[in-house]
Amino acid sequence: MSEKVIIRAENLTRIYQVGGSEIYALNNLSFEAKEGDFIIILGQSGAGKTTLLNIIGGMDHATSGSLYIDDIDITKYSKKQLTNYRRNDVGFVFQFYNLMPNLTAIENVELSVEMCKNALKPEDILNKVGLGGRFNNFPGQLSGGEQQRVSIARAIAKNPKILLCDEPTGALDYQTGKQILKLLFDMCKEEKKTVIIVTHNSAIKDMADKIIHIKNGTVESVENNDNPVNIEEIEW
Amino acid sequence: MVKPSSYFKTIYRSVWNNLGRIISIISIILIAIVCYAGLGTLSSTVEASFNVFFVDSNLSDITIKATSESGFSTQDQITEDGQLIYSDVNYFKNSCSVEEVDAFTSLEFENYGENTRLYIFNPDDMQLNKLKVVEGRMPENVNEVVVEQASLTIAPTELNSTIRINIMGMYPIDVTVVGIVQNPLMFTPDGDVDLVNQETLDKVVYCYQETIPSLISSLLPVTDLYVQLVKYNDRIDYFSNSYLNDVQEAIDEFEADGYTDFAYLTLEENKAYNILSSYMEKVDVIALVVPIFFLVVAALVVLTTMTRMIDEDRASIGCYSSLGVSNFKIKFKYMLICGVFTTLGCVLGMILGLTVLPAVIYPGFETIVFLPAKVMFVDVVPGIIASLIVIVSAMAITFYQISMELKTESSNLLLPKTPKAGKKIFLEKIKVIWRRLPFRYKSSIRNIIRNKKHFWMTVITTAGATAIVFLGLSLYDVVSFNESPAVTFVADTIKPICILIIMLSLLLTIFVVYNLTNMNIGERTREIATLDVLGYHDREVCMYIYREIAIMGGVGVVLGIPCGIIASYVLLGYLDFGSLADVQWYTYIASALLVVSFIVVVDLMLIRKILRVDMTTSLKSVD
Repeated sequence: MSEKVIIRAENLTRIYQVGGSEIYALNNLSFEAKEGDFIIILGQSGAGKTTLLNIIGGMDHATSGSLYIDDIDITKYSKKQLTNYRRNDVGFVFQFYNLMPNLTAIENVELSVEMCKNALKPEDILNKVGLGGRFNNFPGQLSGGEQQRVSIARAIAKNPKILLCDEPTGALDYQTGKQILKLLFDMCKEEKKTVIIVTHNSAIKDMADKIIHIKNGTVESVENNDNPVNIEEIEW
Repeated sequence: MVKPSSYFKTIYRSVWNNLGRIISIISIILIAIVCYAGLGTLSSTVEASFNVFFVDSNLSDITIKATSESGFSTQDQITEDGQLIYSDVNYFKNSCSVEEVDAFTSLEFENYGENTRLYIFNPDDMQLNKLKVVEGRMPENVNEVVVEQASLTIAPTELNSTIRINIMGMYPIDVTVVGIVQNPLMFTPDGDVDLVNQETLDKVVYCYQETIPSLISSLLPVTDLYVQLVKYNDRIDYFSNSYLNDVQEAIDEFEADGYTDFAYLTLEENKAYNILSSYMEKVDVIALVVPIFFLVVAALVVLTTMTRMIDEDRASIGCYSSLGVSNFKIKFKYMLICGVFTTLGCVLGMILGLTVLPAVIYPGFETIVFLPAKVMFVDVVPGIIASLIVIVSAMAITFYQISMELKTESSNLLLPKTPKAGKKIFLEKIKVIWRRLPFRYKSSIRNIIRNKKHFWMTVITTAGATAIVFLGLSLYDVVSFNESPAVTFVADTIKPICILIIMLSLLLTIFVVYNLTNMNIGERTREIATLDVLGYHDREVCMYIYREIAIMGGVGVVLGIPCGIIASYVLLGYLDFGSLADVQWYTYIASALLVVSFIVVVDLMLIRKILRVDMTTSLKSVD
């Protein structure tokens, strides 16, 4: 495991103007993550987990504070720079897959790597996620679990520095969910990517290297786990 | 049960939320009806204006010309048995079909190189075909004459100039031209022809009896009779078949009485009248056929818009249905919205079409006729028929859509609609092409085929617009290529109509493509947001949407040019001037480019909407 700090958030604040009032989605949030870590962010609904993930993913901007990705403060990025950041440095996996409905599995992956600099080969990644025979199927012809695998393949094929997952198993059944988590963990360790998973399911926390508890837009506690447990052995 | 007030609240809210779309529907229907109402009333307006003019001028119904050298006899005769035989003139005067007769002399001769017709009568004695003074005044003494106004063939004569007339080459006289007049029987600029050689007249002069030296005037016979028939109706339509039949009946009567030696000239033999009425016939046909395109597009727009509205309301329809609200009540909401706003569009279109259009186009007829003052005559029939077609088909479409939706179980309605699955399309089988295509094109082509309604709407609109633009521009080319007077008349009047139709169809294109693309973007915010997340730059995201429009628009334009060629060919043949060979090569390109550029304008108008898609909100939940 590397000792390099890949993500460092310092006093991240995100304020929304709603009607006449201000809502603090993030309130002076700070944390660190090392390269190659498997990180789980836990918190109740509305705690700010998704907001944090969106900011790390370059999809939203912080109102104040700094966010260093590989020692570059991306809160200072222009719109164009953020787009490039999302293009090359970040892979995002959504709860509801968000695949292009009229592209096949392999085309969905090709879509995301077409303009990337250091992309991996779509066929290789699809094989790696276990979809070897399903290249030419459309999302409508795939099960939820299979769609999520395509989604993961799409994110990983970019060869990003960070893989962000927002409730990746939220729409899947128990068994499939576990498979997906295992896949994510394997990708993390084999491809040496930093993986951050946002979830409200605290049962899986033991599989992570680091667990960050978020409450009311700020970090409540951080656990470091030196002995992560294999997800297959976790039941809930 | 849903309370009445909340029912109307939902209708009100639906309208408010869909205001943009409703305004689009109203506008597109307005354009279609303006076309029908406006163009359809043109010929009626022209004819009505002429009818009033003819009545005011006390137009004769028949001009009778004597074929013998002695002309019409003016003296009654008494036979050996004491019977009174009327003179020719008195026969007609006393005929019970005849209201009024004017008898005079007209001569046609070569006057110092000019083919001249000379009318000899005292205007005060004449009841019929009152000359209208355009400039100057009527003659007040024997040395004064008036001349017919200048036209394409009749050269202009300067007021107060002196001209020399050598009647029959025997006796020259000098007279002063004190006035320029219009003969109500000569109302097209290409002038009249002389009756002997059928050559165009260079000059037409009107003079007093007394102006002619008595030596000659005593030799001159009565050569012409203006005859006005008894009318049983105050309002005469000179362009109707019944009028022409009545005139023919009178002539038959005269001939039955033995007066077969004369030439009976009615409006049907009048060159100006023929030009005008055949031209109006053609305008009527154009007015009927060309706007069909607008009607078709309007119907398609209603189809797409109402479908989308009903689709979006899926969940609430399911909700009402499961609460036990009757199907009738649910259907009524959409029928009401559709009916009210379609009717509104038609009413506005009628008003605009019947007032503004004729006012703008009527003056264009000035080149084809010497135009009388425009009479405000509204022929509402074409507009109303078109409106009824639009309203009925719109309601039918809506009824069909909501009925289909209600066929689904309310439980299924409450679930989101299963999105259309991706499918392999025909083109994929042609591996040679498919493999080479960059897959962003694959995606675009698949999307296009997935949404057939959108595809056909865009293609029909752009093809139709291209065809119409080509039609208009090619008519222009034909006009500049052929300088002959006959062509210029027809073309000068068609020009304003053409410009109007071209502008309307380009406007329609903008509306339709904007409407469709707007809806399309709204339906695909998820895809757009996903592309944003994947790191696509603004330009690339926009192109993702615009590529489809470009392909569909391209197909439309490519189909539209041949359609335009066919339409031009048919129209030019029908109007009987020019040919396709006159159309310049750059017109073909210009038509395509014009339509394409308007589509590009729409693209630019919608950039903001695409760029405003927010990644964080668009990707949250499934619906």
